[in-house]
Amino acid sequence: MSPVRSRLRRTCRVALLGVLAMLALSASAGGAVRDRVTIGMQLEPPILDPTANPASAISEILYGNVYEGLVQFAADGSAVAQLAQSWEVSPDGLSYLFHLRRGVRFSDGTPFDAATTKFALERAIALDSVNPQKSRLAAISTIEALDPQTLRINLKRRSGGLLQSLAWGAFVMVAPQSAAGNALHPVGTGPFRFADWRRGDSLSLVRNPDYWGKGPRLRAATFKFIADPTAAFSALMAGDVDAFSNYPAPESFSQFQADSRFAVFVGSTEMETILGLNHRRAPLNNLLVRRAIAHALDRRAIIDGAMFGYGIPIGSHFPPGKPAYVDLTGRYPHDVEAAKALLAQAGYAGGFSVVLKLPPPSYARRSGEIVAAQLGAIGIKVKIENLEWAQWLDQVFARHDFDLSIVGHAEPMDYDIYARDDYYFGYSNPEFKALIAALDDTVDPRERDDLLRAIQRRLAEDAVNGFLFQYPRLDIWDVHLHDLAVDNVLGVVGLSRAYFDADAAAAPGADTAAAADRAVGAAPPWFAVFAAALTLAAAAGLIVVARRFGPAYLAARVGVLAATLVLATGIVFIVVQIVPGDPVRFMMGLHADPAAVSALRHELGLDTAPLQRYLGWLAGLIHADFGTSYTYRVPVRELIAERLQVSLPLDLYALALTALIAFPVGVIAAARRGKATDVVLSGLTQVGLAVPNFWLGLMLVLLFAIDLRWVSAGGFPGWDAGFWRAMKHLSLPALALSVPQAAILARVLRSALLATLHEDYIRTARAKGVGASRLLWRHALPNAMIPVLTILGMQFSFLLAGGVIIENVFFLPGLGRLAFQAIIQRDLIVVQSVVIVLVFAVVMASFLVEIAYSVCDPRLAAREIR
Amino acid sequence: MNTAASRRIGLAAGAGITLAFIMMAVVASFWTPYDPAGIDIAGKLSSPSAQHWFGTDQLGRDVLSMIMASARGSVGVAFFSTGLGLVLGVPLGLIAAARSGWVDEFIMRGNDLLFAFPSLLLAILLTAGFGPGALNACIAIGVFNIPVFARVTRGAALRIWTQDFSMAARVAGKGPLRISVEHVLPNLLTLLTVQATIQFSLGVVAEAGLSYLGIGVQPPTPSWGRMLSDAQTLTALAPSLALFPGLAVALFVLGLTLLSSGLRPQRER
Repeated sequence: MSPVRSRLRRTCRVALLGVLAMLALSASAGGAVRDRVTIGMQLEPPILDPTANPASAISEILYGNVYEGLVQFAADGSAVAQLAQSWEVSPDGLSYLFHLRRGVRFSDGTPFDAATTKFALERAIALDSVNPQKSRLAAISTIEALDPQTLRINLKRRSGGLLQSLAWGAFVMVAPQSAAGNALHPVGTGPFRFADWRRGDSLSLVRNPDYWGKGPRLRAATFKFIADPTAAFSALMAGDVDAFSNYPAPESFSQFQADSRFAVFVGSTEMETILGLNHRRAPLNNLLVRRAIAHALDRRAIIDGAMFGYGIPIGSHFPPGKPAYVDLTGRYPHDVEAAKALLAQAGYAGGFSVVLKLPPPSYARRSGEIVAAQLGAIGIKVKIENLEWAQWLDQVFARHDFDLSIVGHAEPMDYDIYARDDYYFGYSNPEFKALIAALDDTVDPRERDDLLRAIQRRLAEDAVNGFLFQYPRLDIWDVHLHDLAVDNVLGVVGLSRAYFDADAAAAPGADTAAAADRAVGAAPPWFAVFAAALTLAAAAGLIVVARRFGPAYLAARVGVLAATLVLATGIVFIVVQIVPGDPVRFMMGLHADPAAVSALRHELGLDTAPLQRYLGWLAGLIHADFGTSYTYRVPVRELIAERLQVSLPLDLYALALTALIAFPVGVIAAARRGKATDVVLSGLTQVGLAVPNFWLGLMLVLLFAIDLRWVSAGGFPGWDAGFWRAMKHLSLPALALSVPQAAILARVLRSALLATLHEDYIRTARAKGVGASRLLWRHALPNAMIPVLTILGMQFSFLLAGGVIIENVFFLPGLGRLAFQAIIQRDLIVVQSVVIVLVFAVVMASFLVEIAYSVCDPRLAAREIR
Repeated sequence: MNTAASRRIGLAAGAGITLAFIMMAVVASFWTPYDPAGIDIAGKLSSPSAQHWFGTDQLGRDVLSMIMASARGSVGVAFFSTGLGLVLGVPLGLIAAARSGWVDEFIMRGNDLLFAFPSLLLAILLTAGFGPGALNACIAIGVFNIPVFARVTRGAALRIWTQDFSMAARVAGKGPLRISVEHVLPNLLTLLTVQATIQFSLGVVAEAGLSYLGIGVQPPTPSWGRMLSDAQTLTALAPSLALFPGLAVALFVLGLTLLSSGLRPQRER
């Protein structure tokens, strides 16, 4: 064997050994017991401060883990000690004395004592506070810090629910220095500290080494936000998450129950799902009609159909399982004849028509269809209107423009909503209000229970709403994960006692470079290189054009470009403004304090005139400042930059695949024109461009993720989880996007090639004796590239903007999903900015392509200068 | 496809499939095997059988009936949105071709601007904002058909204006409006038919996409897109539920594209 070849063989052998060694090393990383957990959740918190926003997701993640309150909820809903060790209530009920724990510190170093408690509570009840629950502490008159460990709260009047109110997430303890920054960097006294938040993707916590109590066994935890039921299913199956809190797909829950890799929990929540009736409208203000509706409902069928059997029927607005619960489901049994009789008695023997407005969650939509059918059986014609949350809050909740609606009420102890005249039901009964007032005045637990029972009976007697079912709690976790506490009052995922046993498998990539301990994921280096290269190429092109055609020409083109963009901003702003829906109402939710709502409106600058807002936005655009997002309170520029890190690579990956598929197909079809190969390939491209890309995506998920388990069905781990791992997650979406585009491109290439092959110079070359394949590759193909490049350029922009549906199928935190969620949340600033960025990309892309043409093809350039 | 025989086959197949779907939409207005909104919890998620050829969904509704009834929404939305584009876009294109100068420039720049906008996002914005439903979906999709028809019309019209017979008409004293209507438009019909078929197929896909996101055709009217999104959470329990609606969309679009390719005037030799 020649010396060169033997050296080659040796090098190959060494390389092979090296690769095997590396693989072995990486596989063995993870011999110790797992101490990091990944938990899936449906809803992402909008900000991380529960004292400034009512979203339950904030407490679910941070309460008890990062933040702690004076007291906490026990399983039965009563208040037990947390940061307050004990307390005494004065006999007249107007003064509470708390004894606070010693030796507690916030994670920013501030010691916890009566002074910080006083600060935290006063901040919550201040006149200009945006605390969503501040009305619950309205009875407080003064707060005194008697000594560092003792606090006295004085009340204006008795408040039987005060202790339980203090257990709410809205009243956690915060430190004076860090309170203002809690929205983005939560600081609390809990067993974990905040580490990192990647919006649209995940939130990470790490163990707090200075915790006052027993330290947690887990070192770090990551919460991944997965709203889509299918993505949740596949994330669990593929091991992307170790547990799922509030699993959103009851239809697949039984599969996990039967699988020995998982442990499941079926419990209850504080959420009553009700069919809300508008008492302000006839005939719903008629008691007989409401009772008829109650008899028409078959709760079992609704639970089976909408929730696949999970859920507990309720007869009034109170959770089963609580000590004071009364089972009133038998008050109006399912009886179609009785219902019709009652309707006839009320004078509506012929029935009547109503509109049922439904918010987005699937439990509402599915229940709605079943309820409509059940009411139809007694003669009530129901028309269904599906609304987005912003529309529901506006039409149903704020303006009371509805007949029926189905929604879940998740706040604990919220029966007092029936005492409010301005609440969306419009129920007003002095007897009921008296009961609520008495309850607030009563401190003795047994008397309170009696009153609670009376409240439930009153609501059932008056058939105030159609009480459907108590929403179930469905949790799934890895069988090797123990003591993950999920409480049923606030839905908190308690990590403090959780741990993995020794048999837990090492998760793929879980122990590589602790992602949780790192700061916000830095953009991968190639991103910066790519951006730099693009800018350089553009600059070079501009210089060439300026030299060839004169600066005046260039200035004119740039001027037109700028004018187009300004016009675009105007159009975008107007379109976004005329779309109805109030972002503030959406953010503050169902229990918004009117004072808090206007405070927030002012803070976001939404009470200024539109023209002013437009000019302010435009001025900001000039130096790339897109404004601040309403929902997330961060500069929009950051949000867009984060999401571009997913959308741009996906776009390029899809383009690369498109070219990779289209070129061989187009060239071969052209070369073998008219023959069987051409017919088959052309047929395939016809089919390819007819397939909707999101359906293709679904089918790919079914095959590769659920059946074969080669890849996970969705999500994006971030670029710092490893380049190849991240690319794996982008592969199915890129493939789904590229197939229809490749079909189009292949057809364009084929016809461009065929057109070129008929040109005279090709005939001349043929006559000169040039071979067929050389003809194709050296002469025809380069000339056919012009229309191909145009199409590729168009596809780049199309893919960037049109990826929203694919991003939803695969749950990718990209630009399309950002825009879609922003539209739903009425975060107008983000919507405006994303649209402008996309318009800019398209306009710039076509501008650059034009420049490239004039540089490359002098004939085109000559035509340009008229 | 460019041999004469394969072109004819393609045209026939395309026309056949398209006609089949339109007929399905028409028939579904009067009759479907079962009531598409008929809920039957006890019989939910059954696989294809003699009683239910495509099985039943998670609320017990017959899938075949739902697919037939969905064709109405699809055809309706695609038809009206294409119509909107035609009715507003063709006149714009004719005007731009007839009057060169700043009118032409203005219309074309407006076109370019509209092209630059991310149509799907704006369609989502409009339907999510003004209320989901078939009508708003028609308008949202239709608005983006206008520049397509305007551009195609203008390009072809310009070429016709350079022909001799147009010049003869001008010499005879006919005004640009009369020339556009009497001479230019008739010569555009084939092109417009082809383009309309293409936009129709894009409308079907767009409607499916909007319904998938929940903002297109609303319940109880079934829609292929919404059937797909409902089926997504059930892929583990009943994979066939995701297969049929998507297949329906793909087949319909295939028929339309075959039709448009077949109708296209032959250019390559």
